[in-house]
Amino acid sequence: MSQRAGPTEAITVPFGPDLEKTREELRQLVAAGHAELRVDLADTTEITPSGIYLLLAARHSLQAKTGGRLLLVNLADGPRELLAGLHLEEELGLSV
Amino acid sequence: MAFIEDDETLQAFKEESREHLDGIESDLLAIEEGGANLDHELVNKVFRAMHSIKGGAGFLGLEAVKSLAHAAEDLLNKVRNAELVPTPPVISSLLGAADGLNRLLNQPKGVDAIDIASQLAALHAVLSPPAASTPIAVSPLPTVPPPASAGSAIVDSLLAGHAGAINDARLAGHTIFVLEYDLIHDLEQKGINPLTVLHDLQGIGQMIAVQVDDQAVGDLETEAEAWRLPVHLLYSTLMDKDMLTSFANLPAERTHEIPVQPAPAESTAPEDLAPPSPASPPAPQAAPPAVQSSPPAEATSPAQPSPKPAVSGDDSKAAGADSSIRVNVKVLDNLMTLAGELVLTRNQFLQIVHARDPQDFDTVSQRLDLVTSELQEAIMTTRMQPVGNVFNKFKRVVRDLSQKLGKEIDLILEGGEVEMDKTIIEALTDPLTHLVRNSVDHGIELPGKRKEAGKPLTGTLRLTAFHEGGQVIIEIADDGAGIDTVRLKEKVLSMGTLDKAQLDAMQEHELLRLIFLPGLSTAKEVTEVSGRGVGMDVVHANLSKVGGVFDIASKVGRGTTITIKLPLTLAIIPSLIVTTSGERYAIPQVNMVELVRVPAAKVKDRIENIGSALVMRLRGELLPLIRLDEVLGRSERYYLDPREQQVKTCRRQQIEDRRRLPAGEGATAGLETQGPDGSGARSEAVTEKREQMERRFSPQSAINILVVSVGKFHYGLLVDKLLDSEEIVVKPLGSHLRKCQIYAGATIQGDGRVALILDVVGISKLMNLSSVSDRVRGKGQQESAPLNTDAQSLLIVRNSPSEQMAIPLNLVSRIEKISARQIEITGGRRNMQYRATSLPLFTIDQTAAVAPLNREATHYYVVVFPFGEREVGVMVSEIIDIIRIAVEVDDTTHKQPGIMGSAIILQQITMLVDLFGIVATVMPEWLKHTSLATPEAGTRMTILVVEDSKFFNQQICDFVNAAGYTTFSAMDGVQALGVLDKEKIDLVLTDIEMPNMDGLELTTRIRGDGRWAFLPIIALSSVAGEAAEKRGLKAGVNEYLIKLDREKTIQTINRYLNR
Amino acid sequence: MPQSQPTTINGRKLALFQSGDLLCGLDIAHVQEINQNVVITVVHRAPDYVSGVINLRGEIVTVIDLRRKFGFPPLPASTEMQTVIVRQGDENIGLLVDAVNDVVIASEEAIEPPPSNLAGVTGHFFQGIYKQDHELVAILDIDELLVR
Repeated sequence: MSQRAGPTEAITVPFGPDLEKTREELRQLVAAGHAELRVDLADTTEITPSGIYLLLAARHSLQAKTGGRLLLVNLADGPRELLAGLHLEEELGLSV
Repeated sequence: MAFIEDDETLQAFKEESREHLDGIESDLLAIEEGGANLDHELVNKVFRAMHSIKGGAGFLGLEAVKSLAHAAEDLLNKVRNAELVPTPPVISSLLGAADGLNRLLNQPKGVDAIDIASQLAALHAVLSPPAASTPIAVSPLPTVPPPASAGSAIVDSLLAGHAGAINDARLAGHTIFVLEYDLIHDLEQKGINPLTVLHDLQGIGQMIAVQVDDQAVGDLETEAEAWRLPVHLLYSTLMDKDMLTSFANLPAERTHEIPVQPAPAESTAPEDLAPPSPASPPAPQAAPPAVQSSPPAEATSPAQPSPKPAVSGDDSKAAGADSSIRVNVKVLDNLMTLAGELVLTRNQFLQIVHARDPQDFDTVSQRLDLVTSELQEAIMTTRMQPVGNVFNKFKRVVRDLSQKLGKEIDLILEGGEVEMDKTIIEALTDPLTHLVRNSVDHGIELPGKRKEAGKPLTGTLRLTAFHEGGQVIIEIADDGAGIDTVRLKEKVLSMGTLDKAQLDAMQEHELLRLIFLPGLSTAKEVTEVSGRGVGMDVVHANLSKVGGVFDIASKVGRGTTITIKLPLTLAIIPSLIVTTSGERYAIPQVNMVELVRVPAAKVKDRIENIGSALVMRLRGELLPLIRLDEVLGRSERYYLDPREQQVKTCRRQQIEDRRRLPAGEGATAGLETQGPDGSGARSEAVTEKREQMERRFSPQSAINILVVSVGKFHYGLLVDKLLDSEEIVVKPLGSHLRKCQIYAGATIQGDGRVALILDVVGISKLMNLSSVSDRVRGKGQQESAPLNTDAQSLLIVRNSPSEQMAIPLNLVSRIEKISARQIEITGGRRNMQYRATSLPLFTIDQTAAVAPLNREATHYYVVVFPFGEREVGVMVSEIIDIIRIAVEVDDTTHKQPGIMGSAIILQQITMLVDLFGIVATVMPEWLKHTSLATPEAGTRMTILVVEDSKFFNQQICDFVNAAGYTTFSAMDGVQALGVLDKEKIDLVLTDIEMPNMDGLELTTRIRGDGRWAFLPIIALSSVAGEAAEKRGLKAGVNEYLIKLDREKTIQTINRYLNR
Repeated sequence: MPQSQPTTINGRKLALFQSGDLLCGLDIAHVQEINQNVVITVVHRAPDYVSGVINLRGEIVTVIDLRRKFGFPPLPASTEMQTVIVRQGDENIGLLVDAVNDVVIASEEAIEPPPSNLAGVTGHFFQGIYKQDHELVAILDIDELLVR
């Protein structure tokens, strides 16, 4: 799924729809020491609270491990609206 | 290093630095309040201020200033980078640094001489151990989700961070809630879309803040079963808790209603004191171009925020580009005098114009008028300052003091936008500081003591400023221990100032005033905070200097309220000039309600004696009257001749009040007071004057009555003549005249003479008018009162986009959002399963000709309300809003079954839905009471309906009548007592909130009268809640019901009347 | 009772004026100005000794009738009187007197402590008595006189 890249480089990972699978992928990438994770939400038209949980959890792991950052890319209107409603846009360092 | 050669540079640096420092204090306090919820902009502002002070000081070689500013800057940098949370100790050290800098900068020579070691040490103490403590970064994450109580820190910070918005919401009548969702368990797993919930909530309330509890989120190792996503919503709405809970899909225990004084949070009024006027024009061109009839004193009211005061500097939140200018006070004083003179000249000029044919002067005088007004207004503006400038200083005072004393105190500041002349504000600062310190030190008890006394641990100190009758009132109220007059007496006795007999003869309020005695302090021990007995006497003296008048109220164990009334000094106000016995007086227009001229022929109809008081009948109200001459202590008194039914004067000579005047300038004769001083030289004039007086009451002359207001209470002042409206410059009276009570000051007229300004409040006190009005009130008759409207909360709904409807919220128990699939149809009736029972559903269009409910919708809102014993629901398509307004109801045009009437709400014609009417029309068999045969008219029971809203009154009478009772209606308690007196009443239905006499008072009076001791009284209120109900029951009502719940009302009536 | 007074080498400058039976002196330092024919506006419910207020160039000044203060009978209304404006604290106050006579320089030696009573007026209004020719001048204690 995820392209291999040097641990210090940014890496893009697709999000969902299987959250458990996404969690495993994210976990491995963090363990590999990637400093910047780009989560691609292109295929996500609606995000659930569990999805949001996963994003926040990933950020926690990332910060604890590498101090790196998590960016969301290709954010559609649906997820964007909920993130905005929960005042999480800045929190999650939205990218395009 | 460059040494200080250039005095000007140094001076400029000092001024600039002081300006920086001015704002820093309140900024720091705001930062502290925010806690971890950092306002970056604010921190940056303080940082920049410190930075530029450091820079300037370095340039000028001011080493002490530089090092102190530098250390503060370092600390702020850490706060800015979130390496350090601005906890109270951190802020304390920064405040200390600001104080130190202020002192250094105010030291004229040898700046380095002041020792700043302690401030520096405090800063370094906070700076040095940062590695060990508080980086905000993520601490090791708990895999087990923290218990729900972990949210309380979040709640606190939410509340503290949005105190302003919370306050605004409360002002709008909203209740504040914190809704605690776990988005995963509460919504996602129940198939509810969080966005929908957010939208729904936003529709009928206001989302103040949203905070996802990031700390409760684990990391990627957390298994999905343990996932929780707690979110706190800070939300305000007009709904009550029950209603909200069901609407919000949230269990009650996680819907937290925030009481009015949030215990842990800081003051509720931190930032909202700053006038909301970043967009106001710069001061120099503040004067509006047109002649304003509104006085400057009025212009300061919140409705019309005046331009930023030029002389201030602190409390302005607008960073950097604050457009304030500093003006030398001497220049201002001079301008003030000039403006006064100019007004005088204008008045003189206008008089000349009056005297001659005005043709030629018209344009010139208009121009003069215009310029004068503009100039005057502009100058007044520069002198006016919000009292918040003083109030805001107390945040620091109270914070520091309470920390030191180990007390918990909420400081509430209200009315900070009220503006007063700079001179008064300045004179006010020290006395107020003293009073505040006193309250904190002696008034509010230690938490332990408060707990023992059963009070909230956190004491409340409330500073309020407001306008009343052209004056500014400032109140300092605490909920502390109060003043113990017993101990006060002992103390005074031991001082030997008064003896026991004197003290025993004193009333409570006189005793309280004893705290103004020199050398008196009731605190058992002298404390550092308010020092020893040099207290209240100095405060009193200082405030008296600017004409302040004190009032103290205190209850042992309950608290103390000190009220300071500040006079209208230095203001320019529109006034009416009147004469009585040839003397001219000015009455401020703000005090006036209307002018009434009673033609001589009508005098006997309109004016009558009640006891010794003279009253007038005005639109059904009895108005106490007082003659201005009598107020002034002259000899004549009005009385109503019982035989001739005419107002006459009874003239007793009071020689001591007749003042001899110096050097009678012939021209002024008749305008000054002349008394019968026995000298023949005056006898002619006196005779002439008597004739004048006689003429005043002869049949062809009318009586002029000025109706004035003292708060809610009105009275009429009888004067001889009404002259002109004039803008007058208010000047203070000298110290020998302060005790006169009846004057608010004096002014100089166009002809250079002095006219005294009457103080209508003082007059009513002196003449004891309020007690007259009490007597008079009892006699009030049932006459048509203007249509009274009630402010009430309405749920605005729609069936179709084109038609708006409103439902009185006080009838509604819940609002549910349901899916169309939940609706079951059995036997042609709609129902839904709800909480293990079946909820019957109705639509408005079932009975009323309104647009039908959209049948295709996937969701509906159900407005649930009690109908008799059962609960029923009315469906609507859309909920627009909940608003609280006073509506003028048109109860004819759209009235039909299910619709009470219509009103214009949110600029639209809105049908007022009659929930009961709908159900009663569709299911008449559910109405128990109507099954009773209507008794014959003669045996009908009689019910008195007391309700000030004509609309509600009518509604209630209608359905009570329909249930077979005879009704009488009264618009308030006073009228109700009148009806009770005359008619045989079997039961009273009364509203609680009413003018003149409210329902509680009415109940107390009824219960106090032997005749009606057992008369059933049912309170109908729009105020729900246990506390309100308790008050009602305590006053003696038998039942406490919600207004317009007619099923329950009728059932209750039936129960009491045995039917 | 009498405190030390501001003195010059020549003694104290006193403005002399008549009020009823009393010849009064007032340290010239207190006197701001002397006015004639001022229009006084009566203030009802004011203390008895206040004769009213005047407009002194835009300032409202309380006028105190010295005759009333001293308990002398009032003069006929048509009599011209004079107003001595004095400064007390931060306030100007007018003293209504029968006539202003003169300014004299009183040497300290000629000033004696006041008697308990002079022309029927209690001595506590006075700082001292200055003997001039055959007349006694009562030097007014302005603070005592204007106490509220």
